[in-house]
Amino acid sequence: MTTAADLSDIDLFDPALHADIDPHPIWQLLRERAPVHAQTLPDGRRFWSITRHADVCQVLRDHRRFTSERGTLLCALGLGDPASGKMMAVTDPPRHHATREPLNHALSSKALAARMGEIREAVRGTLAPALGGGEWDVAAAMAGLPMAFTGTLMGLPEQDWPQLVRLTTAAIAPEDPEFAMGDPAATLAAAHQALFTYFHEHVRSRGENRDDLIGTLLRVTIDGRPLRLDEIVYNCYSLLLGANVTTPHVVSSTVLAFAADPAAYRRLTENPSLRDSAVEEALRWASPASHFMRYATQDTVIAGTHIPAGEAVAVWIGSANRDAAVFTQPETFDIARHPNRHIAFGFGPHFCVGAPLARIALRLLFDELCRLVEDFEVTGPVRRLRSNFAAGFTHLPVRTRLRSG
Amino acid sequence: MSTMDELELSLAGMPGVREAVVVTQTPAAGPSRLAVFLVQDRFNPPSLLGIRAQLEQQLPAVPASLAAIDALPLTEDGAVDRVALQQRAPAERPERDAPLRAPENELERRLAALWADLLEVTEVGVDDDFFELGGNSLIGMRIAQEVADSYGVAISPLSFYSQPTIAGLADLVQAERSRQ
Repeated sequence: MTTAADLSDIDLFDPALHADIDPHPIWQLLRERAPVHAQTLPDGRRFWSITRHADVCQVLRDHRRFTSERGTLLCALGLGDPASGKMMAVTDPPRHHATREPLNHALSSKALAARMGEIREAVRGTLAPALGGGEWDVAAAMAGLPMAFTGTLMGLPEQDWPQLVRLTTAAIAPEDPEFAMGDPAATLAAAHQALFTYFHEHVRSRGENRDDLIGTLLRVTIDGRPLRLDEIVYNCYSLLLGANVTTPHVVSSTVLAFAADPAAYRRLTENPSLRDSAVEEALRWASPASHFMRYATQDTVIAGTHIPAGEAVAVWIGSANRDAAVFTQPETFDIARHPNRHIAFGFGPHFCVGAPLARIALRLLFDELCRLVEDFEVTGPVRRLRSNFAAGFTHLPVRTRLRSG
Repeated sequence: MSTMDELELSLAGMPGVREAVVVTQTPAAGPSRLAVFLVQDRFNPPSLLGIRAQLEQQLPAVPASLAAIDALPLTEDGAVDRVALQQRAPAERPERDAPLRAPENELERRLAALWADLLEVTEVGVDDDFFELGGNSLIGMRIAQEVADSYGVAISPLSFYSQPTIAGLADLVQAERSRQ
């Protein structure tokens, strides 16, 4: 039987928990026993873990009670965020709108309809390793997927993409042995600096006349003035991070689910009408952005628990997306799930600005997989990313049998 | 024309500087100090190392601080708010266990002045930790760019963050220069 002492042992801050142990049973325990659960780190920093869907939505919806301006990821717990008020993700409304509106427009389904051909080509390119019909590493192949369309939309040269994928991953998983460059703090700072320098030099050398997402940022005005270079650099970083460290893991997680349940995959290939609901279920199942952090701006209460003003709360998206109060049979991967009120893209004012793009890319990717692949078999050890933020994979070796004809 | 007006004019002509304002700041303790505020170009910030070196040649005493800023504070009627600038003084060096160790050579002295300018602190000891002084990766980028412009060496972020102090950075700059 689980005791209160066991609950106090839970360390959701530890990246190893997310890589080496399945966090879902722990989240389930918290949802049932301690849906608002305080954890204190050895150095004295404290945060509250929120694990139920309704409570998570309540926190994300209310930017007045729960601010984003002191950092939104646990790795910055208690440190503040130098990009506060400058980068969209760490800026509260109404200031947030000045950058958000033009990006929303540029990344809307309507605007992206014109880019469908390019996105399809990008998707096909990343599936090239599958075409041999032998063994390939889904996680490694998919790592390049977001860059292949986001890189184009941002106007970044293709030769830079692999390095940008490495650096963005290091920035959210500085403790993963494949991405660590030194100790975690040095890795994090170095990855950030390398990315900021890259965007700084790229923006400086390309000039202001450009018809891409960076051009959109260059034309944003806030308080009657154009965005400054640091604001542009921070937002470029944020856009790229949002794309690179999330979408690939949805594909890997789904392929893993299909390898475990071939009937579900067969059902998807035979029923194209299920592809859209399959994308939503894949997003729920993977929940690649595992948590977001907020700070209480006032003394407040969540689910009966008092949260003092100034304290940090971490809302666990992966947990909310398996909450039995919202999802029937939450531990079942059901490509026809309806309704599916998942919050994989977040909730409220900071809902993922790239959601329409991610949905289009995943839909095209599922279409291509269904066209090409008969079935999947996992052939080697699956390696998960060592990160408390991105629920992801670094290696997923599979053998795919291709369809004949 | 006063010396301060002349200084403002000469600074405003420097690369990356759109406007310059020089004010006298009077801290609660200690003597009054000359503070320079440079409104930086949107895409090409000025070289603070370069400007300090140039001022050292031109002036008997170099201003206590140079700050590159995005815009000048304005009063309600649209004039430059000099009072706000007079009050925007660098912070005192944070309390630390280790005593301040002063720069021992020209390179360390110049780098310490650069850090003090970018981090907006009154002084920096050569063993002080970059992050404890309020450093972040964007300021790290500015330091690397300044060092590249003035000394012609590329310092990798990783080697910088492995020993983020003035002494560490000076060692890296010297090692890179001797390699060239």
